[in-house]
Amino acid sequence: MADRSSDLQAVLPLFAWLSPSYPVGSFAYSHTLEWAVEVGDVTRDDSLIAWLTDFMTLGAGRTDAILLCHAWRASAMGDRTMLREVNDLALALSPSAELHLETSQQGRSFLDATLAAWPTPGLMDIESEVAFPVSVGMAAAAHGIPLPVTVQAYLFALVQTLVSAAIRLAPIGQTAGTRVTAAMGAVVREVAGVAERLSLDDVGGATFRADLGSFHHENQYTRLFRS
Amino acid sequence: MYVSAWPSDGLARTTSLTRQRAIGRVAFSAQYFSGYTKPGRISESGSMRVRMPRHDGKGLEAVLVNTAGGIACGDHFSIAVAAGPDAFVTVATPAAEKVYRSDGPVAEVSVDLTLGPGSRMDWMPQETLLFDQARLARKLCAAMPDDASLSVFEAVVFGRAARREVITDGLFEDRWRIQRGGRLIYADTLKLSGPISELLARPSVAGGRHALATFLHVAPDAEARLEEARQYLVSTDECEAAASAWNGMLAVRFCAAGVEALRRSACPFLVSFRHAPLPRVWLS
Repeated sequence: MADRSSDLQAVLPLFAWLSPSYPVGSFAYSHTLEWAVEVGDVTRDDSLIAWLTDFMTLGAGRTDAILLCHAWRASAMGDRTMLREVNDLALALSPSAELHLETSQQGRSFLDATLAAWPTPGLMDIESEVAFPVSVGMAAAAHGIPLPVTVQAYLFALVQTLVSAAIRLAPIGQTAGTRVTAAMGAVVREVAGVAERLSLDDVGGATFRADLGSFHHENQYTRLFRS
Repeated sequence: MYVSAWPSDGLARTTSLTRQRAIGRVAFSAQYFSGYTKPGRISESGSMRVRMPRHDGKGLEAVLVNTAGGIACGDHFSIAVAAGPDAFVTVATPAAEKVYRSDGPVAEVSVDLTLGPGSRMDWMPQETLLFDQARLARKLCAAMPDDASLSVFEAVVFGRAARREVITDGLFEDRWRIQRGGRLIYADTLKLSGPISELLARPSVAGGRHALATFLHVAPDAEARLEEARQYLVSTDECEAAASAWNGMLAVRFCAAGVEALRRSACPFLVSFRHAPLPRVWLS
């Protein structure tokens, strides 16, 4: 019983770090969803679930999960060389200007906020750019938050960010949005569980056209989001 | 003992026999001498050859020829190209590379590009065409200094259009890793595995289209050329295309209904953006 309550205490920072009130600016990004709505790929809750599932299983969700796991382990071992390698790969994997901004701006903001408000000797700084999943993985390891819950919480936060974007983009109502979020739970658990066993060489995706959407989004006539 | 058959023949499973595998390797360098780029050392082995036909431009135009006439299961090809200081080399292939069905083994192609200071390299092979049940893993690694210029264009077409071929099972993995000044700046792994045609039907993957291509330009002027690149691109329903630029790179992606639609969009773009005609072997 004592173990369980200390586990719970260890997990608590994730609720702050991955909440919309943490000064990271996640609300400003749609990870190409805004373009997918514009061209009619996402129109209702069922097409949003399909889009999110591809994002998780074939796209950036799975990739971010693998990167987070490796950053968590590098940070837990205090291995700066490995951490730098993971971070360089994470940044280089951005397929477009907006998706590069999405991960590097959130990553920097997250690390700065966490270094300022939740400092701990184990939390290393990365000078220059840092990718979002890398900074979350580093912070969680430094605070002794177990990896499985960190990666699930990170992916679930991505789902909520994107569902919130979908609600603002109007094809989905509040009620449908909450149902979509709940429906994505199983996918999140599956992707997170697999990611823990994968190497950096396993990073790869198939969301070619969704990524192309972020190229198009740069020229979209009216935009609410930065990606 | 060898099995003698075309790789595309519907072979029965003959896993107990050792299959003939093609292994090919070509390595060459390009050197700059008083205004012209000339071939340096060349080494060839197996079924890979390089030819350097005379042409009018100042750069060297190298043509890679796979004398095996395609890629079958378990084949392994490697290509290494080095551009010396200030050299300009364009590498192309004389035809689309066909990847035949495999009964298991994955064919591998690895490409290593090394650029010297002030050099320019344009990697411009023609399309790769995957047959049903083809299995291909391709790796492209490039290392360049800050002041060099690299352009890479790679296109892949899934299934033979004339017979409306469906890829019920297959593997296509295309891994790019580009280092500039010793630091990884671009990494991409496109991986389609299993029922590829079903995957392509998904809006996030290809929206039912069958030809994908990426053009990447890494050079000091890359970001400054974004608006220019956009002028050369028209995105249509048969070929969606758009450009993005960041961190000293410019990327263009094409997602086309088929190879003709892809060429109608990509060829004029490549001619305009490179300020040069297509490699001659593309047109023959």
